Amino acid sequence: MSIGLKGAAAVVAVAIVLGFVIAKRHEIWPARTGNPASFAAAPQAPSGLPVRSSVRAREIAILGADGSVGVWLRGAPEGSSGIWIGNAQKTAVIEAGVHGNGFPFLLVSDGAVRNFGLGRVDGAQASPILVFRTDDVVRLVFGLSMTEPSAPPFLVQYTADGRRHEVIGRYCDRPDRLCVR
Amino acid sequence: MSVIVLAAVGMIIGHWLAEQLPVPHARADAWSMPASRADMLSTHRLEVVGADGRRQIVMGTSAEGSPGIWVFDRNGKVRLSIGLYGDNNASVVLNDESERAVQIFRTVGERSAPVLVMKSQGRDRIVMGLNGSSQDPFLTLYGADGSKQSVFGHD
Repeated sequence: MSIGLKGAAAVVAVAIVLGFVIAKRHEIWPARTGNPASFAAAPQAPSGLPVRSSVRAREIAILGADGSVGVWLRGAPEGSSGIWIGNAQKTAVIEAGVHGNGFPFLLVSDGAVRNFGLGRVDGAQASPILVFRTDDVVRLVFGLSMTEPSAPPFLVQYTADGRRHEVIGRYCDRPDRLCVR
Repeated sequence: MSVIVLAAVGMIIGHWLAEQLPVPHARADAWSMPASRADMLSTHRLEVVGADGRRQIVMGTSAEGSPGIWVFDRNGKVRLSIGLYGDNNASVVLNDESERAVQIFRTVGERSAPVLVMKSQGRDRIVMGLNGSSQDPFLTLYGADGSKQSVFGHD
């Protein structure tokens, strides 16, 4: 079948576009992911990459596809250092590290840190503490006493209206801990 | 000239262009798309160091051969570690200034039972989690003298 010059040009143009779209289809319409199972699986490592024996840096940031920081490892001049993991919308955060005073912590929270679960070490006896807070209000604290020499276990819960209920042991919730001293 | 021949030539040119040109604003999925060489850095050991050259964070392989992350205090002591034990169970460990474990959140055994352990002076004082065989919850407290009190369940 023969066609004119304009027709031939049109056919070639349409074919070029089709060829381009077919070749780029995985980038234009990527497979949909994002469910919990897809997050639980680690990203695949490409084969054949050169592997360095060691990398040293002041800070390390791992970026998402949109350029936002997803993982950030850094130290600070005051002696604190840690790992920060968050989503692009900054609505969920995991932080783990060491404060400047040497106390380690692990925080799982929302972006504003108003709701969280926090595991940390605190007090003169380096007591382990677990804290759950919602809407900026602490609702549960569990751990070993920061003030009593024998570091007995305690578990205290708070009702929504602020009433305290000591389930196990005693907990001094004054910032100055004077209730025991 | 045949339409089929023209279409084939056009498709070939389209494929060639696709290899040369990026798609602007193409949606990318960091978890599913294979990373390019420019996007990936592979190393056996990764360190974050302070201005004084002191190690602050290390990512690498433990003596047991399992992966881990270690965060150091200003005295060079490991105060936080995240990683896997040699038996492939996962752990997050908070240490005191002598690098003794104080708070351990980990999985245990072949069934990976989750357990939380709080310690003082190197001794277990609170152990809470799911029993390794029955998977039932338990909470056990230990006094400073080592006396054991089961609040509920069995460890």
